[in-house]
Amino acid sequence: MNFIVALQAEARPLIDKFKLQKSTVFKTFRIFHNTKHRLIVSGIGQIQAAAATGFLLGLLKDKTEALLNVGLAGHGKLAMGTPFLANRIEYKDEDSVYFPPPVLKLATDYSLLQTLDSPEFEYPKPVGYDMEAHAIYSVASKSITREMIQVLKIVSDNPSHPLEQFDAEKAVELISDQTPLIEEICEQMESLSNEITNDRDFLALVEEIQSMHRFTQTETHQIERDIQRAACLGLEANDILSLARSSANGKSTISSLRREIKKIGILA
Amino acid sequence: MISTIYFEEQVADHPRTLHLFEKFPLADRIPCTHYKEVFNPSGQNFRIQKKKPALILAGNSGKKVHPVPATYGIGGRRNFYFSHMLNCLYDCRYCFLQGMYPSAHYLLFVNYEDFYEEIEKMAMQTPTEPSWFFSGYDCDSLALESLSGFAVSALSFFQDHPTAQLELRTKSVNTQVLEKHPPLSNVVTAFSFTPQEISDQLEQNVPSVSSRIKVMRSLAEKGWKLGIRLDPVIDCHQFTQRYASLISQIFGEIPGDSVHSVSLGPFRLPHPFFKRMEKLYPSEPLFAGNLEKRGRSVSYEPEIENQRIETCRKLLLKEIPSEKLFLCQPLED
Repeated sequence: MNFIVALQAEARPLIDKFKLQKSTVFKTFRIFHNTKHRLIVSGIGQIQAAAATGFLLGLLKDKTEALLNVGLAGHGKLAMGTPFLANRIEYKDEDSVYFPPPVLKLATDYSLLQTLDSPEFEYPKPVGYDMEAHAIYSVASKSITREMIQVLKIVSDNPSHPLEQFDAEKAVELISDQTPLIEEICEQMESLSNEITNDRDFLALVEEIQSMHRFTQTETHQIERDIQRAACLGLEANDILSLARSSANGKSTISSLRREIKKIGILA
Repeated sequence: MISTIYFEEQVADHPRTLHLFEKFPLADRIPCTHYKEVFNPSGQNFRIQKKKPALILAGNSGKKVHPVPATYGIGGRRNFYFSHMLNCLYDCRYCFLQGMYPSAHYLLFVNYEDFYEEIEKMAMQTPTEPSWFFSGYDCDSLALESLSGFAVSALSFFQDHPTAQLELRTKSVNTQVLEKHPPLSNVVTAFSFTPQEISDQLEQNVPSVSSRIKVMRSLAEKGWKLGIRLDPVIDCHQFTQRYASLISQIFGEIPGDSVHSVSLGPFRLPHPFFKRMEKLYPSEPLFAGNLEKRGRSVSYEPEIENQRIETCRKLLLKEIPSEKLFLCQPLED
């Protein structure tokens, strides 16, 4: 699970909640992590956000990994402290509008979100206002499955409580109040991500077989798919391994596996 | 059931849009300029969206009625299809929609009248010869009737256009609209089947075979013409026994004279669709099995395909005359 936040104050409650450690490897951006979570602090504005997103994408193993942008936002209608998921993200009059797919099952508010180049003090529409989400979505959606990119904002200012100056302690408090919701979002996103990610046992099996023989680039793809086919048709991992061990080379492993698949490749 | 509605700004005030807003008052409403902004972007995951599809309301401003390939049809010479909706309530693993569309959201074109206008034009080209219009290619014709009200509106149109023939294709038991309407001689309601054992494995949320047969019988009693669609035919263990049992179950309940047509079609998919579907469901036994690429399609090996179709054909010819049986052949590459 990956988080991207603009400010250290927004990061702090997540660092505490998930017990994240600061990475000493990366100097370009502040990155915190544990075995399951990764957080990057981008800085304010679209350029910083786009750069941090790109940097983060370079660290991902899979395009099915989930990415959640958490941060504060102004809003023309919602009350202070209200969390909302962005359902439409736009920037000025640009044609590129993003619609994060509504795949999460949550009883939270949803709202349009407008990303701006500078803070909004007038709140002309009943929508959210931030300075990063459009850039994040724009970059992330080039690499990550769109359902796996979500934007959660917490209202920090609105027409009744207009933005005066940034209060770091207030930011920590607003985000901290929403950590149960953030946890719930993480669980749901991770669960969806797991559904479309190959399981570890399968990957280990593929790796083991690929290490037994030499495979060309094409054969590498073929053997991976054939192992998957054999497994889902009911061939046990041990039987697949035996087949590979008794084969002379990569090519014959593929042939043997396909012969087995042919025998069992009919629907129950 | 629907928690998110996207709507094109141009149809925001359309009566069907307003009706759906009223029907789902708690749904999150999100405006868009064109449905393609939501439906078409690459990088969406059909499988995940299928768990909680949103509804997209749009106007279809392009061509609405399309010719059907020459190798398809149920006896007519002039065959067309139209899609008032894209995507389906059900989740059938063999369905080409998963490979064709980037999104699993239900896309409903609310301008039915524009479809009818085009259908009327097509039908009027040959006023003395019937033209067939197939409605269930890109969605189930009845499953989302409570939401779309499409069938009720279509019946009213086709009632006044007797040379235009309509096929409603469905796996639904949501047939109240037909039950309440006097039967029309130019409308065939066609039910798709696979044996129950296959349905259990591949057709999520689809009503049982017996419940579909039950509503068919009820429609037959009211005088509606019925179609039976064994398409796609799926190879499986105990194939002959399962298909024989299915066919005998159907014809044991449905009076033969209410059956307008039966069609048989082999399982086949365009190769790019198959690749996408395989990627979405890599652990699906149907895609892992003995299929092969033939030309631009993926299908069973010819020998298996021919045997299975022939088995079904023989079983069906025990129940119906050959003029009611149609083989939907894939186009040769």
